[in-house]
Amino acid sequence: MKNKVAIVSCGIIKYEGQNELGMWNDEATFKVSKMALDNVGAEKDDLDFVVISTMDGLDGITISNGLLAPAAGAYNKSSVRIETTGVHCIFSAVADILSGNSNLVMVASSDTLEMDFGYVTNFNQDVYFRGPVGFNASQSYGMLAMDYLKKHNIDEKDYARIANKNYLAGAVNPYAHINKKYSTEEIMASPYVNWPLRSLEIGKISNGAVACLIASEEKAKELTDNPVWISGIGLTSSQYLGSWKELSDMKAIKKACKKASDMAGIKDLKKEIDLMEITAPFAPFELIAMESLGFCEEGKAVDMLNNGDTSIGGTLPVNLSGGGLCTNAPNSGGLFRVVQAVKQLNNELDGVNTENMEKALVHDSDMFIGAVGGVSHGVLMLEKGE
Amino acid sequence: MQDISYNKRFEYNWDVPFKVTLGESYFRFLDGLKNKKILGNICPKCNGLHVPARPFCDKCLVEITKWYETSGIVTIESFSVTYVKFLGLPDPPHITGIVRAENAVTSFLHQIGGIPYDEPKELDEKTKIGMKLKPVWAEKRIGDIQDILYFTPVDA
Ligand SMILES: [Zn+2]
Repeated sequence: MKNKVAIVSCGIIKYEGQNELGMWNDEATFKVSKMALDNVGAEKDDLDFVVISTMDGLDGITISNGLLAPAAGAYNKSSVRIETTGVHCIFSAVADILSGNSNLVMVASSDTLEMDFGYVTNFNQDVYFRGPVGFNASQSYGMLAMDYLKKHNIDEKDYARIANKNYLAGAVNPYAHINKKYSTEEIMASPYVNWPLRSLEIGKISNGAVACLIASEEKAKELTDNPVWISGIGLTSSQYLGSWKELSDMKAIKKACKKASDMAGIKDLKKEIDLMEITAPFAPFELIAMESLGFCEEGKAVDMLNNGDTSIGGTLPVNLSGGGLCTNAPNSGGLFRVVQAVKQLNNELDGVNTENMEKALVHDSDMFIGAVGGVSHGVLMLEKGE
Repeated sequence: MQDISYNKRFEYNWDVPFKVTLGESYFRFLDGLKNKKILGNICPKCNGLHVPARPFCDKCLVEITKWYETSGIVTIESFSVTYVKFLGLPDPPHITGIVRAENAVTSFLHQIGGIPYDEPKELDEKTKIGMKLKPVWAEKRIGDIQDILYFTPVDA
């Protein structure tokens, strides 16, 4: 990128189960936004722009921005609400900074409501073609998991191993919702929800809140000695009623990643990226995403998993946060992963050494509300350094 | 901090009536179902067959106007067997399929039924990608996607 933009501060509270936070969206948003400001000694008046990530169906109100924007410091300032994920919000923040309009932008998101996610994601479908015929997010996960299993002749136990790897990471992440080290055997013993996916291979809905401050180069240097630079960002949409080939081949991730890599000047992803956070609301999507992003050939991500490359201490740790199985927050999950990657680059994890890690990739997507058709993917490249 | 756990008491539902007119292409497709016809339309630019019929082609961003009547036989492109009860969805086990009509460039979702089994778990193996299916029509058809009750194997 020609001009530099950085993430200069984060605010986050520990994620819990549905309706377990003990506060409403606005209060949770306020807490993390204030934390992000306080961490770098900034004030509400320093903010130029506020971006909120929410979805009405996931908030239980249709004017959630009206409630949440002031909680993130937007009173009397410009603000937008984006109904897709954290990387999409950061895209908007970066655009406003690069236009010269803003120097400091707050991006915030929260989940505090208990709802029936299966029902909401059925209701999210159109009511003419997809909704009435027995479809919600869970079936879409099952389709992709089945497709990948059949195409690559891998074992159902590999899916349990991915889940186990994520649970081990989540257990040492103080912000993750699930901190239980489920073994591969326990995961294999959990019941099928959508074959071949078992209940412990699908993320349970999490509640929590997260915020980060995005700044121009000048503002970043004024506020912190510890900026994490946004070196590239790309977004791509897929087709809603496309063929299965179109829906399953993840062209949108590939394109988003290409855009972000080109912008960041990354030539060889596998050599240059040190760690990744991937939106994977069901275990095997981690493999599908790694291949689509270009970290290995099709069908080979499972080897990286089984070699331990993607585990804590591996050559390319994936989802050190515990991923979507440990923290699956529909509104704020994307921003949660961004903040986790920032903390990893800053070597702030207890008991996990990420000292020499300098470049991170964050994949984000609204696929958790339905992974086949009408999906938007985002890829964000983050970098430590001057 | 005082205990506020008693406060988890606000329960509510959304039950909001909506009305919409779908426009000519979708209407004609849904109206065709009344007469046991699965209609598609063909993009004038890429010649892609769209089933269900659509007002425009995503890839070319042009209007689609040429109509085509399919045989009604579809192929399974992907499916998911659901083993737990979800609110608003059929009782388990049920099979949600992504099916494609002839050589369409689009696919659509529907239930797959009529596959015999003793144990529900057999459905994973008995449902096959590439399987040909035919529609099972509702007795009373009103011009919506559920005029097709489900798709069932051609040789069933
Ligand atoms: Zn076309």
